Amino acid sequence: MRPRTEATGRGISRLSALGMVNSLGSDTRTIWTRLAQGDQGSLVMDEELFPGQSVRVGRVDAALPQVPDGLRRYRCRNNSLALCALRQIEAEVRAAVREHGPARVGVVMGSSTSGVAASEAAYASWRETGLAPADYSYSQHELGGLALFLAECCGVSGPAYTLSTACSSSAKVFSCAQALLEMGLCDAVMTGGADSLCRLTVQGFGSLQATSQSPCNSMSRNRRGFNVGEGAALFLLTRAEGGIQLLGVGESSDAHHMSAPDPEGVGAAAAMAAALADAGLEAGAIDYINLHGTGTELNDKMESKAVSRILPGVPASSTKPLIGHTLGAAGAMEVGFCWLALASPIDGKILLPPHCWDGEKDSALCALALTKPGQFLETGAGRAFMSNSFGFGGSNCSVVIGRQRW
Amino acid sequence: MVAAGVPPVSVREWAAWAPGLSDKSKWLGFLKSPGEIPLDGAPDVGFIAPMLGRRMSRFNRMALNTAYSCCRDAGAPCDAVRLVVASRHGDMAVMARLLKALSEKDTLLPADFTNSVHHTAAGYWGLVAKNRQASRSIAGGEASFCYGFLDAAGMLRHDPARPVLLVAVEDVLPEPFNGLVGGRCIPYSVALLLEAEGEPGSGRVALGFGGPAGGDGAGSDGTIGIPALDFLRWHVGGQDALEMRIGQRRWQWTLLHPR
Repeated sequence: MRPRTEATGRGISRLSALGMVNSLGSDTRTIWTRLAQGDQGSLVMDEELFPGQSVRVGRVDAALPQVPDGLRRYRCRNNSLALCALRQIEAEVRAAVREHGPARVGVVMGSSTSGVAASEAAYASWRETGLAPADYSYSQHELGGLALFLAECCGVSGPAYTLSTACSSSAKVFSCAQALLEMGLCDAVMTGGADSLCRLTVQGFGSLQATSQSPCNSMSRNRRGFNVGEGAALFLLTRAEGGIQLLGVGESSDAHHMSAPDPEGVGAAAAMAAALADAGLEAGAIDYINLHGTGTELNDKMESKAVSRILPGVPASSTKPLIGHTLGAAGAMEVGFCWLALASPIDGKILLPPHCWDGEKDSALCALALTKPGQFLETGAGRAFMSNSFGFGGSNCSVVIGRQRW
Repeated sequence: MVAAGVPPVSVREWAAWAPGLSDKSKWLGFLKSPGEIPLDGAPDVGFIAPMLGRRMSRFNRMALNTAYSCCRDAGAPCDAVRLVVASRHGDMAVMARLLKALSEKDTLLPADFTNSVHHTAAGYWGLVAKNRQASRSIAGGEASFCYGFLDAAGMLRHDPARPVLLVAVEDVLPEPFNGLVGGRCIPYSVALLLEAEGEPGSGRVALGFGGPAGGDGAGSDGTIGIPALDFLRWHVGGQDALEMRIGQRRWQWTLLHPR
């Protein structure tokens, strides 16, 4: 990683700890091992989410922690996923609360649908009996509930709110979380995303013909779309030097269409360029890019254009063929994969997440340097990785993280 | 104790809409002596191409009505502002339609699904204003407006050059949610055009944040009980300070006079 070209307004902030759960596992070691192996076995067929249809999804099979009784109103699968991620970094969070005080620790989360699955069941029950189930609470569904739930879990009273910009939700949170540090409101911020499988998104994306029966086959001429996934990724962001740093965040809007991206990738390229500018880095300083890579006709076409324009030749992969598209959790999840790669070099080698596909190039796409299983970078030099996330309504975000010392 | 605050920002312009309150003079009257806000009514969206406007729900029309009015009144180009949309509930009318279809095992309408995401209003703003700037949509419970202000202040702290439009918007809740959610729910939208530095001689607003707070502040001691409207009432009223207690957190607004 080259030195920053100019001073930016972004302060120093370290991605100090990461908890994660997705279809590959419920701890980062298992997830990283299976990810590095290109294990697509966790994308399974489901018969429940879409009556009359089998759909392939990235379901979390691990037993999840139950939301404690005292926080019963938040009890839903989405918050259990978030709690599973929190448990993995609880020691670091507790230490931050001890050091700075509960009022100085904030929470900024991203989610596209929060616990809407609870409302799906409650609505059906209400239609049938005139009553919502006794254990239903709107806090389970409410978008802001996710951040408040985590704040209450940890007993912190700093700012706690949720971003919801569909599939870029938990990419944009990094900018908001860092702003809380920059403004001096917080000394540590829990930030990330959580989204859970529900009929709304599985059937909704099905109605848009964006989902595929077979595993996501990003950048292939045979691509048919993505598999809806679920999970949570949660970082602790602190105002500290060293380690793995949050270097830059770039945001843009397409101003093109409510559900389809700008086919020229103008908005995507603008977000990537803005992230570079925010990090004060030249394009040549980026060593790997985690693609949005949904495997839809339109995304891959426009993203390949944008990436080949802004980061030509940079090793790239989509990790959606491994865990599915975790929607509002995807931003933090995929920044998380970049973090895991940077955090766990073996014998001086940084393994890159492999691009799992059928290898059938699409001549209509701009050529990308898609990673192969086992592909690695040497440590030694500073390294910077970028992650792309693009959502409905043309809501784009690119995040750059990096590590200087090994 | 109020622990810390966001850097002061300038409120360059404001706009608001609610049924029966379609222009600034009506709002000034309402803010001076708040009355009941009716639940029915539709905002003017004559500035939106009819093809697009027809696809938008009242929730989105309210948001775009105030966003557009605020930029127009400020003389700010609509494509040059960043956007933060703050809403506790989002567009629950479309969400209820989807939940109904799911409960009846009906096919979801693709347009309903697309329009159900929390940042639908921001997406429409991009299309209508040809705006390619950063936009965010946030939810923070009953304090959603306050968190939107805080988020916008963070954007301005990071990049002071471009203004941020903050749009708070809520609509009435459909059944069964109207019976399941506490707090007052009326249709309204408030837009504020925020800048890091105001015009010379203009005041700025500082927002202090702290907690925990005791008691149930929102709605008590003669306030309207809706943070966005209470803020507006305070802002046009010219008082020096306003404190809101929402849940476990306290929000302290202070007017900093020009020197």
